[in-house]
Amino acid sequence: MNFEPRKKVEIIVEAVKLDTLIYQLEEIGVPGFTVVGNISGKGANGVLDHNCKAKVFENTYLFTVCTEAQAQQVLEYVEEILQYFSGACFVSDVAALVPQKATP
Amino acid sequence: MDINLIISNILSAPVLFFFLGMLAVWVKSDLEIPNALSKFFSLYLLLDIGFHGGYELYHNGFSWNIVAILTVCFLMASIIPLYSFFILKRKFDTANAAAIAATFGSISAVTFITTIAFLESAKITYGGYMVAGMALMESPAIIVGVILFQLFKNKENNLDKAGKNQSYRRPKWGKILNDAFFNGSVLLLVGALLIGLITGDTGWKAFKPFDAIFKGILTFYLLDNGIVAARRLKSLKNSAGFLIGFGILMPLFNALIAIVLANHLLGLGEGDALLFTVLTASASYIAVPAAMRLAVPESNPAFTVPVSLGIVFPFNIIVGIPLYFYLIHIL
Repeated sequence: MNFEPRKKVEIIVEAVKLDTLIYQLEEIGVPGFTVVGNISGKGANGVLDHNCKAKVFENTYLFTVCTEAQAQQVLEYVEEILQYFSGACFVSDVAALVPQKATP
Repeated sequence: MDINLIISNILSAPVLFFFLGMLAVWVKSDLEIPNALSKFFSLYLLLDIGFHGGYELYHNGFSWNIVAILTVCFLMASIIPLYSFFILKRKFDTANAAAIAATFGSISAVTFITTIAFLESAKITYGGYMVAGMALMESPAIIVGVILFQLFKNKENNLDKAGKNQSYRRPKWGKILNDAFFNGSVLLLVGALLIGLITGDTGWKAFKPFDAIFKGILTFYLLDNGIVAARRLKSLKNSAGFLIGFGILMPLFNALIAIVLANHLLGLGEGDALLFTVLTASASYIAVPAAMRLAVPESNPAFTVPVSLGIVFPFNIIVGIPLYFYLIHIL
């Protein structure tokens, strides 16, 4: 099996900010991302309740696996967002499996 | 005042279920409406009310009088945030004052829909064009709120001083306007209104079985709203006294202006006058807090949502609707 070193960036952010975050990730050119919506939890800004009708109390979890250079750009943008919006961001080193392409 | 009106409103099934939802939170019950179901109820209610309004318009047609009424609706939604802002500014910073003011300038569709259920129970007629009025009143407050924030924001802000993040902080008007005028609620409401208008009798005949469950769905939705309102009310800690006072007095003040306009300028019938009054007295707790959170990130939704959902909404559906109806007859 073939593995390549990558950075995994995990972001928890208010649901209202998800669209702009995704737009920025696409601008940076990360190869992909996964979103888990409607999450609840507790952080420095108190309890976030996904069952409130107002989207402002809803959190979203997103992670992306990308190159170090892309991760750096993502982190710079997320740092900017987190000045105003509640959330958190974590980065870790991961090994990404690069599957062998099936030959016809 | 006719106390029976308030009692019969409180003893109506939707309002009683609203209390039941609040009770569930206070006694720490595990009663919960699944999120997806709650979203379905709100979409159903918007679709039903929009379609019904379009059908009424199909029969009653459009007139210059309706255009005048809709213009006043739009103007009220633009003016309410202005004076609300200057009152709120005495207690809050610019960002929160603008966000709360925008919340009060916009409307609560569920309060409007509960009023329609009240009118239908009392067999009082109303015009379908008021649904168009509701759609028109949803968005202007967002624009006014953002403009107020931009005009009055503190120039001493540290980030501005450092010259950093200016592009991030500049309002993105394209996104703001898109959110204001094409958010899901407004699009569904206006779309359903137009479809009701286009399809006329044939469309309504096919839709009628769907409309028959309107009151049941509203009841379920208010049960859910009771749960959410009680939860939000618990989070109202800072400035609670001011916000409770503001959340009751401001709807009353707005309602008085609306009643005078409805009776002496627009000459509305009692059903339309009540709907117009409720629209001006209600506050948004879904669309506007989300839009203002994005446009003015310095604002704190812990102020906007609890006051609109935990105070204004219960006040309007329990006391406001029958009180405004009474005032329409004496002013």
